[in-house]
Amino acid sequence: MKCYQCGTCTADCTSANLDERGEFNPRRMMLDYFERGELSELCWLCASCFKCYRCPRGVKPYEVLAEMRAEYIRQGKVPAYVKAFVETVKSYGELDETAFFMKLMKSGKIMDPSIVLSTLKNSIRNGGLSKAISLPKKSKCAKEVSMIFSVVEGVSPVGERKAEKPTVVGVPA
Amino acid sequence: MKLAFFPGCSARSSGMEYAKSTLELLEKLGIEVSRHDFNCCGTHIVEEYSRDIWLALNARNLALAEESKADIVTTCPACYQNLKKVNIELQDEEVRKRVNGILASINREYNGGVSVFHVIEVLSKVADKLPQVEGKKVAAYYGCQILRPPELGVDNPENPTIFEDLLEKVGFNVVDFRVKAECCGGTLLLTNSEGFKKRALSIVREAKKAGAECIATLCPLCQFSLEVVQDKMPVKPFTSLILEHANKEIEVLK
Repeated sequence: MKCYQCGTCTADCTSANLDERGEFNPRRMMLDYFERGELSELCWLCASCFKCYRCPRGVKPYEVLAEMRAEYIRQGKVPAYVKAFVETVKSYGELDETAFFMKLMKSGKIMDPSIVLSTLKNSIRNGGLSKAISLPKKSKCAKEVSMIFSVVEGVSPVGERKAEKPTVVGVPA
Repeated sequence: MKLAFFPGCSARSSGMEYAKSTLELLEKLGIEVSRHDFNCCGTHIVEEYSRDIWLALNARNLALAEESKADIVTTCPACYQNLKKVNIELQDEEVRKRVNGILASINREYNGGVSVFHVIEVLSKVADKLPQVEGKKVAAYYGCQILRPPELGVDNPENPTIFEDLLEKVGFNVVDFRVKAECCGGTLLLTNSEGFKKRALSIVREAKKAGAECIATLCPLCQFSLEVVQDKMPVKPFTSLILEHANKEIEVLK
């Protein structure tokens, strides 16, 4: 690995700076991953802000953490919000926000009540009641999007795929 | 330059105001945009879930624009980044062939002929024609994905000026805002809500310290984040700000 342990990625990191306990440490997460193949669940707390692009050795920590998350997904360990996101896009064609939050609630995820309240308030102010409580609506493109998903996934549903990367099934090259 | 408007998923709800004001501003400037049946860009979430699905979702969007011989302009930096990233990957003939193999199932094909722009790039090119506004003190907030990683950004990620330049040209008094390219914490909304609130509030506090009367955003997620955690500091999509404060008729570009 090119990393020479300078710690620039961690000093710049949004999530590391928010973590007073100092547990979120991308430098250590990468070291554990490359030296011992260990995954850290903390990778789900990465803000994807790309601040770590500043690495003087050209390591891309944001890509390493993304690969860790992809590995978790391949192992079938998919967080509820990822599952809800993917399923919403798959059946609606877009990230329908109402459908997404309904799926999240169904999975037992509890949203911060102060954020929910203030979201509603802002929605009403910006777009009226219809914006705040719109019903889920499939996009026109939903059919084509679902087709893309089924062609690539074959028949395996979310989170139940085997450990290899997805391959294209039944499509002529 | 023919342009296809890519609204992104947020335009249907949380980012409605940003999309609406952008379309209104483009129309007033005589910049015609076509509308298409675009799908979600997938973001890094779908990219991590399945690279091939993510490639194909974005390739479908690029193919739709290509069918009408248009380039893409979007308001959302995440859509911008994903479309641009996939577009670069699809310049490789082998990757394109493989992804077109997936698109064949929906009778579509992409040949690599589309460019992807963020609306700030488009508006910066016609800044002289934009309406003059009163000198309100504004903090120009970039956030992350419009700048980083650098190969996918619109400006120098360490010292960007494209946003300030545009706002100054239309008459805003842009304050020196040291956290302009820091993260709003928006992506942490579902995984670390305390961290999210702390981060978004710190951006607002810095804007206040810098003497801003208002924060201008160019990202629907930043807009959502900074607005949802407080209600004292006004936060506006920059296109809404320009429209709202216009005190001069917009010259029509034709």
